[in-house]
Amino acid sequence: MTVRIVTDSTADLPLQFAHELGIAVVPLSVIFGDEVFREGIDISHDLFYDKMAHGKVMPTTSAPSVGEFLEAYEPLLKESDEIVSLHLSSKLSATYNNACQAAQILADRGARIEVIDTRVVSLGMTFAVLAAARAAREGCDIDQIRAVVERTIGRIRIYIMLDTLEYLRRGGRIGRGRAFLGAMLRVKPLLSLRDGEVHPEERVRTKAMAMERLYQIATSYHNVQEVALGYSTNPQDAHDLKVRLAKALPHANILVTRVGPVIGAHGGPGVLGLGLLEGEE
Amino acid sequence: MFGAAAGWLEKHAESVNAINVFPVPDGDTGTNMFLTMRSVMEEAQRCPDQGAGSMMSAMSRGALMGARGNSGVILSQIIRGMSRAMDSADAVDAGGWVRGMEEGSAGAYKAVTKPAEGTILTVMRESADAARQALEAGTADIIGVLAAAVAEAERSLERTPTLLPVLAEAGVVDAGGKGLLVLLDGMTRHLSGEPMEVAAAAPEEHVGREWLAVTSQLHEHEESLYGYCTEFLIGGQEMEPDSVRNRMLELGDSVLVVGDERMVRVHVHTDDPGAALSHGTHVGSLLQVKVDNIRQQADRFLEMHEGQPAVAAQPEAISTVAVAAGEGMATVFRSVGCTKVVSGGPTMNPSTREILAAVEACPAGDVIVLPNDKNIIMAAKQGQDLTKKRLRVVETRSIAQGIAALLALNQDDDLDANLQAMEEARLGVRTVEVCRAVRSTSVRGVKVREGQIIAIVDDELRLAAETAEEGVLRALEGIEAEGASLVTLYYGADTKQEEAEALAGLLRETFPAYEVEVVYGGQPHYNYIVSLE
Repeated sequence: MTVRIVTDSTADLPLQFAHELGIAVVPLSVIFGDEVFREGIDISHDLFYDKMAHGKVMPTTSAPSVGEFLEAYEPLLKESDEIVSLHLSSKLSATYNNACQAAQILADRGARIEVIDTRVVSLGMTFAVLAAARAAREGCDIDQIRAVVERTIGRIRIYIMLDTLEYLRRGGRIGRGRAFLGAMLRVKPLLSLRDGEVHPEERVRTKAMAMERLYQIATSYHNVQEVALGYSTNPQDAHDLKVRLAKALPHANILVTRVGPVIGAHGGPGVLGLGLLEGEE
Repeated sequence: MFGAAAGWLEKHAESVNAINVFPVPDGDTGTNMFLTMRSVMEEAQRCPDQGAGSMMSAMSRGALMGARGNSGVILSQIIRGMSRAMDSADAVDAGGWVRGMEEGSAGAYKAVTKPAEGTILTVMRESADAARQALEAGTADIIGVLAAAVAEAERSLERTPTLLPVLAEAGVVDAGGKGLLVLLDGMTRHLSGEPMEVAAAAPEEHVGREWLAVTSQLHEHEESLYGYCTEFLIGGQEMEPDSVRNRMLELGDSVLVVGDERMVRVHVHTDDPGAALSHGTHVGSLLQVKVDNIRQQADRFLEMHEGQPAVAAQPEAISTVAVAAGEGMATVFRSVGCTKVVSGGPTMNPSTREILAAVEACPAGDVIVLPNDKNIIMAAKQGQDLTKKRLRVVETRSIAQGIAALLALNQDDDLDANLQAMEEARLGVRTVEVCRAVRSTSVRGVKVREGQIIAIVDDELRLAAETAEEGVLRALEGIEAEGASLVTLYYGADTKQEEAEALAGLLRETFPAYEVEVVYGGQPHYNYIVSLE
């Protein structure tokens, strides 16, 4: 019996992968005032970014409830009694906690659900989810899949260029990136995710320099297997970086995606994310 | 003897200042050397033991701490070298003095990374050599060897333009070397009982300018223990400035007394301005009086500086100290995480003591200092041996370099990695500084009239212009900066925001490849400090 793989919408998993590999996606929501939109279901990326740019209210986000997880897990348990559920960093969202509670409830009924805190988001999470799904398809058991996922997570690096820290600050997800607040000069913050939290890396003065630094960072790793580039509103940035990286890293797969509303609500416009998966030693 | 030398230098400070080559309003050599000597004399007065050895070592410490500007730092190393040679002596003979001069010369050369000839170093070395020759030729008394040293210092000073082309072009001798000559001459005159009057009185406006320069340095840099800044002018006959000075030293600190037997100008910080003034009425009649409550000013200053955004108030492994002039500039530095800002800049070089005080006040044991001016680098470096903290200096030569270096600081990396990253960041920035020329001169083919606008690119005088805006524009046009994408305009205290915004608009039109950002720097003298990166 195949182990089923579940993730949440902040993995920004391209739809085709979800279909091909049979991955179930539980949506988080974005909220404008009293309007709630489930990511990927009730609102398109275009509409969301348009509302964020022109709407009067700033979007907030919310994690799937325990009930929503139960609703997602229960139908899968008719086909399999084992699930691996991978979620965004528990330090950034209640999603992981709610999934754990749902898993606990179902464990009492005999199901085995391994909930994993990937300690990353979006593009980085994609690597972990795909690794889990491929392992499941190859027939690995739940413990083997967990081991594969943990090894993969250890090889994920995430760097993020933001246009402004304002959205992160307002959403309360700034972590140690707070150190970069308050500059009286125009500064492009370069952040990373470390131990599941936003971490300040560098401040550069312009987007051109920030893009250059992302390129340098990506090419400073010796053994990059996969690259994922995610943008919120500027596809050209992602495309430009992809073209350069394709030359510098001819053996790496490069995936470009648009980050969804939930990550977009915290990153703001002009986000360019770089996810790297290092090869195994 | 050193006291007499310091007084002699004080009288000549303006003539030393006047021969600075660069037309920018920067740390005047004479003022810097005099203020360094003043710190030396203060330490000497505090020394309980009158033996030459312990007196010299007290003076050496005063020199190290009070060193201001590169000429001050070199002078402090000269005094330190002398002190080492006279370590245990109770009195100094001619031989001891010659060894002292030689040690002083060696110390000065060591203080400079790339010693240049045609500077104070050359004058010191050659006059020490002359003192040695006089000794070996049989001169047995200290006045004799000193006189030989002074005579050679004069000749050596005259030769400095042949060694340093910039001096020849500007038609002057080296200012630091001249300061040294004045000090040696002052010692000789004192020992041999020669008159110590300034032959030709400096023009009144110069005296005024010098006075202002020095007292504003005192106020800018020294935390006074006393409550009232008291300034007055005494007119009279057969007055003795030295005895007035001694009385003022009993009453307070930050003492400055200049003048002659008929006119004496006094500046003192004291808790008893009445006593200071009444001394004035004893020796003559008071012509001008000005008393300020500086404690109240200091309180207001503190109030203003409290309640700063607590952006940098995070635990830090490495603290940073930046030297910056202007409240706007200080705020910019703090906003990008600078731990402490020392007030100072091209026109007011902070002393090693002031930089050290900021370093000691930092929470971290590792502290990186950003001098942000070429004339402050040595005073900052001198602090390394005087603190238990690990003090390192990134040799930033402009505000623009300082900001770039600060932005490159990464608290996750160790001190060495950061020093390297900050050095690289500093070198990745081009700086344009625009101000009014304070003297007419010619430097590397660029001729400048006093009062004209000049543009300096990376410490080199590049061009003269009619307006500050024209200066910025033409300077930027002349810079080849491949891959540069951002111009930041820091506009000064005397420049209007609208003028800066208008210039930014012009730059955006002229250089479509650059983003242009306008920031209030509030720096004195410089209309614009511009970074290109």
